[in-house]
Amino acid sequence: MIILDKVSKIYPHSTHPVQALKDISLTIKAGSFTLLMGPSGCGKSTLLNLLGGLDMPSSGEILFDEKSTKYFNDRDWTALRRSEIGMIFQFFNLLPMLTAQENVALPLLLRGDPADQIQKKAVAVLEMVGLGHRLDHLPGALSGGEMQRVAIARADAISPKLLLADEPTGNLDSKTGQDILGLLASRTKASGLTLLMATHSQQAIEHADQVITMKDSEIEEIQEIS
Amino acid sequence: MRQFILLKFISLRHLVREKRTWLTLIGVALGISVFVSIRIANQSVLNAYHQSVDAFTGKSTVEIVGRSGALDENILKTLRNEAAITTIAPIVQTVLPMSTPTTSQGEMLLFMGVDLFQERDFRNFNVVGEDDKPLDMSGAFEVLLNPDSALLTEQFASRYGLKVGDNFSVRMEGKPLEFKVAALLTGDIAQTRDGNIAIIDIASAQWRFQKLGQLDRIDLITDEEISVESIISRIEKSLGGDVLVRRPQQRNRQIEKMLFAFQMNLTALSAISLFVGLFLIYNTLLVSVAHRRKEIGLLRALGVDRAQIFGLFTIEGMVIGTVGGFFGVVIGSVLARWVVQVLSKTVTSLYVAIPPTPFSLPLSLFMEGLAIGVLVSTFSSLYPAWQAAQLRPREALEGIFGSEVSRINHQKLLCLSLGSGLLSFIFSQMPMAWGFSWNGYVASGLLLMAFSLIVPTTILLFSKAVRLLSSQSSPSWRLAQGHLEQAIRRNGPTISAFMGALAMMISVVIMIESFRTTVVLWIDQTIQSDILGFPASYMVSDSDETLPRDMLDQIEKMDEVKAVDGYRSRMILFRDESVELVGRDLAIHAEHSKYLFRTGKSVEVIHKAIAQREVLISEVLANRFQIKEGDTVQVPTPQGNVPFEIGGVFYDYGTEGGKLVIDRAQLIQYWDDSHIDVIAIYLGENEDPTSVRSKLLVKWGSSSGLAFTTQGPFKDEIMAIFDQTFLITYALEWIAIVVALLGIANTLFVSILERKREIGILRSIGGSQAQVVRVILVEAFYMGVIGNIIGLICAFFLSLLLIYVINKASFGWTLQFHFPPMIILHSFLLAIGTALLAGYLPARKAAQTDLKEAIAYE
Repeated sequence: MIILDKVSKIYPHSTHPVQALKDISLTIKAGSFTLLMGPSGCGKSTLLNLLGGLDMPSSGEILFDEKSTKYFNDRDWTALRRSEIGMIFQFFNLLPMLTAQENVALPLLLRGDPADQIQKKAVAVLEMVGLGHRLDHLPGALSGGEMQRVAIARADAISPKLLLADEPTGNLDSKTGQDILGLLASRTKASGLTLLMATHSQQAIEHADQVITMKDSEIEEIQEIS
Repeated sequence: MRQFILLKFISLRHLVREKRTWLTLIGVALGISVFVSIRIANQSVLNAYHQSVDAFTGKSTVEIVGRSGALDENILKTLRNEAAITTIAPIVQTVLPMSTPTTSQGEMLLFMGVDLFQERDFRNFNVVGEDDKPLDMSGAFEVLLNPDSALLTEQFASRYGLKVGDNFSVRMEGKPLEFKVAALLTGDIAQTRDGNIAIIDIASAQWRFQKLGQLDRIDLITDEEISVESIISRIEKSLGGDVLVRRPQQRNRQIEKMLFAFQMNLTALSAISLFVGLFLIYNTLLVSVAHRRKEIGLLRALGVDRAQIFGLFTIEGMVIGTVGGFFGVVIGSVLARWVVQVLSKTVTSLYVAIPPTPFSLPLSLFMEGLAIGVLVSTFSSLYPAWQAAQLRPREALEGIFGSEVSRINHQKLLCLSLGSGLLSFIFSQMPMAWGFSWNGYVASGLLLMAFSLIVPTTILLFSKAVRLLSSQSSPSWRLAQGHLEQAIRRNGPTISAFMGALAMMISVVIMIESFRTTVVLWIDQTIQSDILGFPASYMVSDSDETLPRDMLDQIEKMDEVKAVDGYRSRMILFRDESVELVGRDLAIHAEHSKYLFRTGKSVEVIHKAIAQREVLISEVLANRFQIKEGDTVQVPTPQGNVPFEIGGVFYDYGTEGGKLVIDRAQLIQYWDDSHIDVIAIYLGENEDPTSVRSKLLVKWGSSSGLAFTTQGPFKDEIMAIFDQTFLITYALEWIAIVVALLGIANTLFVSILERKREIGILRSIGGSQAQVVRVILVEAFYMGVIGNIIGLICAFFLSLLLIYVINKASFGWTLQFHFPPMIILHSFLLAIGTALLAGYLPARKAAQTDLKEAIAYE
């Protein structure tokens, strides 16, 4: 379970400091599929960045499984990203010089998993997302949808508890976007992980358990979907 | 006007804000500073040399010297009958060490024996007597009448605390020779040789220096109405072939030629840093173009045309060059203070006595440094600026960079490299001209270019090999390799610059090591005597001090001594050029020591030379005059030209201009010269050189200013002089490496800017800061390894050019090629160390990348 308690983020500026998040308090249940929706600039990405430890809150507290991250340093966040948090981005963010298999294997390598298990795992995850035939392809040789599948496989490879996805279908056509949403939903269900996804896509709602709507750096509405 | 706006709003902001501009500036400034410091030092040394030469030459238009050594003073009578000669100044001169201290550190004093009444017309000096009272010529003549009297320069006298009326002594043949300070000298001549000049009456000089009836030189002022050339030919005709009549400037031509070659070599070496600096600007701008492609697209979209984009980047390069040039000159002038000292010391020990040279920075050199900065930077910014101008606005705005998407044509590069290598070989086979090995330098430049051109292909091959060989379990190695391959265009020039600096450094080390090994081998084989005796001043280049004449006989009589070889060296004019003539006991030399002959065994060649009265010549002399074994040469002696057949040509690394060696008996027969400069003592078996040396010291001890040394320390001393000669070379090389180091740091910094997103991704999927540092350092390591591999191979060929083309043409020495195997390890450590050092700061910066910015960046 993830709890945010009065989390705020202010970007300092000598004359015009920018309030990106304002007193956000919410609970995300373990194993849920939560959507973050709202207009551009409302704070969705900032919230995901704070949850991934890419940025630090100015005030408030974030708890992972009741464990406070208030005093986490860079090393603690790195450890968390290695084992518990997977991330997916709008522009896929694959490393262009690595093959699909290498991209997926990379987080396991960085974590220091046993070498013989890494490649097996990478192949298995890629097969799971339907790319078993694209193992040695460089990202440049893959379609947008395939690249996002590789990115999902990479995030999934570490068997995270939390998957953060920042507009994963934003750069895809609607058909491919739908496929990706389906894949994410099925991965969530299958592995029991928690998925928090920032999106503009209305199609995503049909897969979600909870929809959080944000406006002007604040939560406007939390909608449970039965 | 529009260009100015662009410069003000775009370029200057980039230049000031970006840290890598500062790295480039430091690199360029260092590169230029090295070049400038060598130019300043060369100029200062040359000025000092010319100043001292001019003061000595004075107003003379013609000078006469003996081809075999001294002149007979009777020729003065003949000269007095020549109507075209206005004034005649005969000169007797010798250089002797001051008695105190008696070590080789004792200052050398040049005695000029002159006819004071004639001198006035030639050289500018004033004479000051007791109580600072100026003396006219007759007054000065009067004080010099006493054969013990000498005029000393004010500065020399004050250094030794001497006043008018005080006595001082110099050493000749191991004994003190007393003089009295009759008056003090001021004026131009007193400023030369740091004031180490004494003027005495010519008759006194002849008597006291045992040169009765002899003159060393005659200076003439001739009728201005008649051409100097016609007077020279008239005098030659009337005096015969034993003398050389020439313009005073000709005397210095030989030394100037050697100095020129030496200084050209230094300048060429200093140009290495400039060359690396050029690469640095090129790389910075190329990267800047890549980094700012969107900005270029925007500017184009806003109506800036191609020429203005071209101008923008060229001007940025020029600004870096001008600012770098300014600081380069400032740093260079500081550096030059040290270089001047080392250089004048080296020139003194190798070529000619140069007074401690005052440091000066003329405005012309200051401007030259700036101009070089601007020229180099403009030149190196042309290609990047052209690339920027070629960008299409749409592509640029979309972030597509033409040069990055276009493939590198490896075949074309390899063909160009081969062509460049071939041209290098052709140039290496050409003859030298204008007094220095221009072709050798052109060949070296082409060779460097050939190796630079294979860098991109090598990066590709290396990268593929690493991918095949590296362990799948190490992400740092794989990521670094991937990036290296992806950014060949950016990494290529950096690795080339680094490779070039390394190659030049290693090749110079191989050359010096080859030289050193050759000299060590030569010393070991040719210096076989157990003890060497010589005047303490012998190690100073222009001392005329000799050993006591009876010393040879006395040492020979010692029980411990098996044999002694008396060695005498004097200068003669061989084919109108000054060369060293050596007379020694060849039979003893053949029996106990050896010469390394080009052909034939030492004992046999020397014995044949004794029997057939042949001359042995050094390789440098043979190369200089294009003569060989079996040729007959005319050697000028006081008894006229004597034909000598060349019995053998031997390797010799002790004399700059080459030497002729004859048996001592012939030196006495033809030159009547029984002086000895060095005595080589061979001891009987089981004799201890150290105890015999002590015995010799007791007998001729330090009071006589004689030095005795056993073989080991003597060899050490020669090697110390050798190492001193190459001090500047090493310093220059190190600076080139520092400049290259800045190049790598610069490239890696830019690489990090470009890879912010990649670093962000790495961190977002669990990469730690330490892992990011490792990736960047591994990339730096790869750059170092590639630079070192190509650099080593390039260095091997460069050293062949240095040894067999440049050195051979400039100095005439044959060096045995010696590749020190440890250099592979040393260069590897140096290259990797440098690369890692250069990569550390960029790596730290990469690790601290702002993650949210990196990920959000698009």
